[in-house]
Amino acid sequence: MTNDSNPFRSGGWKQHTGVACRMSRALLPVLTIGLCSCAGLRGVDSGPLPLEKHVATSVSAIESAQPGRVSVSSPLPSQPAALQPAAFSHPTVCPPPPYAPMIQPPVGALPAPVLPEGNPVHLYPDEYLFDGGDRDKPVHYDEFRRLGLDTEDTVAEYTDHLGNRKVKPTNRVAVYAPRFAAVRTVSQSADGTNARQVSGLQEQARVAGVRSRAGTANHKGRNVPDGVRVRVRGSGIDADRRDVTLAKRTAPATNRANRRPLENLTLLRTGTFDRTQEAVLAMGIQAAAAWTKKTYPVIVGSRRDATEVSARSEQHFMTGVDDSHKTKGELRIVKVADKEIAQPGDVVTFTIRYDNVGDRALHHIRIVDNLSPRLEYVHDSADSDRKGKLVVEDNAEGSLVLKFELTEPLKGHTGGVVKFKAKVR
Amino acid sequence: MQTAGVLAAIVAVATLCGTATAFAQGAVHQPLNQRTPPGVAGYWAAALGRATPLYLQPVKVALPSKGTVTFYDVAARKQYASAAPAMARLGVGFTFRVRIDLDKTATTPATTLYPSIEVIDRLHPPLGKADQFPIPVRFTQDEIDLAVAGKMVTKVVYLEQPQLARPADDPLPTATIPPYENLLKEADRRGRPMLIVRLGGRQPDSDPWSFLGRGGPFQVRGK
Repeated sequence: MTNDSNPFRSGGWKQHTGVACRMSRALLPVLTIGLCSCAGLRGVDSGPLPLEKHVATSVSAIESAQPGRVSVSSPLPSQPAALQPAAFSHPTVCPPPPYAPMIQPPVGALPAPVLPEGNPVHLYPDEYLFDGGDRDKPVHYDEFRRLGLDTEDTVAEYTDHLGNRKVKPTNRVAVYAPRFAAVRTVSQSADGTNARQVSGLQEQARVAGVRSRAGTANHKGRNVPDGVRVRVRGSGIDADRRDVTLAKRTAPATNRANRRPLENLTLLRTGTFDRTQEAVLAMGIQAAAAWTKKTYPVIVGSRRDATEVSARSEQHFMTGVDDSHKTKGELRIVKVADKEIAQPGDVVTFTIRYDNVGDRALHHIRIVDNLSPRLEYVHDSADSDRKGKLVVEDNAEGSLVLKFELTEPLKGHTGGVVKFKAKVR
Repeated sequence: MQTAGVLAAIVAVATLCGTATAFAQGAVHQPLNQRTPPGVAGYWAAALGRATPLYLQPVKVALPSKGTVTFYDVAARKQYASAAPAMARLGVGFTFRVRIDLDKTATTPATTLYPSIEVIDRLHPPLGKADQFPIPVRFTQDEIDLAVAGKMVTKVVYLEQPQLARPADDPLPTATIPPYENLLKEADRRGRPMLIVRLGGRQPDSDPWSFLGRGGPFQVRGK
């Protein structure tokens, strides 16, 4: 029965319910709790439910031609039937479920799998050993440090002709080298005991720990390098760190815009004034003037000659080189490995080729390689065809960071090669 | 009624937040564990598409001392014994019961055990290189002793994540966790589970072929 004939009023479902339904709704939780206990239910085969018994009695009174067969011919009851409890049981004490049967399909009865398409390196990266590229956070810098250099990353740092610092990662090299580990438990069967039923709920509480997919170590120290390891060889890696000063001086025919170290000026070294260095000296004087504020250096020079000297002053002109057509320097860096597959213990040689594909020179080139924990650097295996030095640091993750620093700028359209060896763990 | 509705909404939101937090912390539910009946994990793996009918995963079984490893072709009622370390190609999704015979040594007697190997995943090596990368199954002497003493050793061999790999030269580092932990969940947390190995002291009864189970497709080198 409905109290309101309009079912579309707000809360319409509520208004459709009658008194009997409201009462039954209040009684439903009580009925559910009572009937959901095993004490209430005597099992499926233990006898009919009270409501079923009531229905059977009313039907049998009407017609029961054959035992076991019940046909209903009476009209539907005028009053709505009380809500019957749902046909499920949730006993608090239940017999243990039957042991799941072992499922083993016959040979050849496995479902046909759908093979994924794509490069296996991208589909199954955990089977490969990577080195190169820049994974996760890109390499970046704050005022003091380099950040974002994860394991396997290989980047090149350099400075262009304008003094801008740049970084470029290499490509990623993949070597198929899966490695396995195992985790085990030891359990023991309890002899002489027979578990019949669960006596109660037992809950095991223990101290929860922090679980994460952290690496072997979370600490990354970026302190001073552990040591400088260099090797003296004719190939180019130079162990000396002496400053090599220019030993050759050339006097320009005309004044040029390029600068020379002031310590090379003849005046500062020998006290002799060279007219060809006048412009440079003037610049240095101006600089000195800026530094000394009030006093200006006074240069006195005299010549004594027996013969008459005639001097002719020529108009000096500043010359420059129009290099606006030159493209800025750009570094291209490529990394390769000499093996596609490797077993633990194998030695892999990595080769890094770098080229300046622009016209202008690049400076302060440094190649940084953070090795994976599965790669062990072979000491003294680094090689380069250009002068430079190798700095080795610990990366606090079980391997090393290799830094190849070139001591000379890289001119336009030139390049070089750096090699090193690593053992696969 | 409005108050009840507000309370219900608060409870629902709190539940969802807790669930989201749990998932954010990596609380992935692993329905399988080391107590799952043998064969279930393999069947599920095959149903998930990890099994290829034409691909058999190489597995290498190593013993702590000299001995032999015997693989059984239950359908044909044949057995194939190989000296350890023995390699065979096993079908993914199947459970194989093998026999390991350890020779007598100065400190240990001759021992015969029947472990089972359940293959639940496979590798994808370059073409023609599958045999160079078998999944290792290594039984140690302490595991043999535990099995002889009546205990059950359940081991999951997993593929390490390269970024989380240990910088060690041990060919198969093995960690032991308490028996109340979920072994499969722990292995999945560390890498990709590949095999489930069960080693106990149970011996075949009157009918040895029924004891060996149903097996699956496999190949033994040279046979």
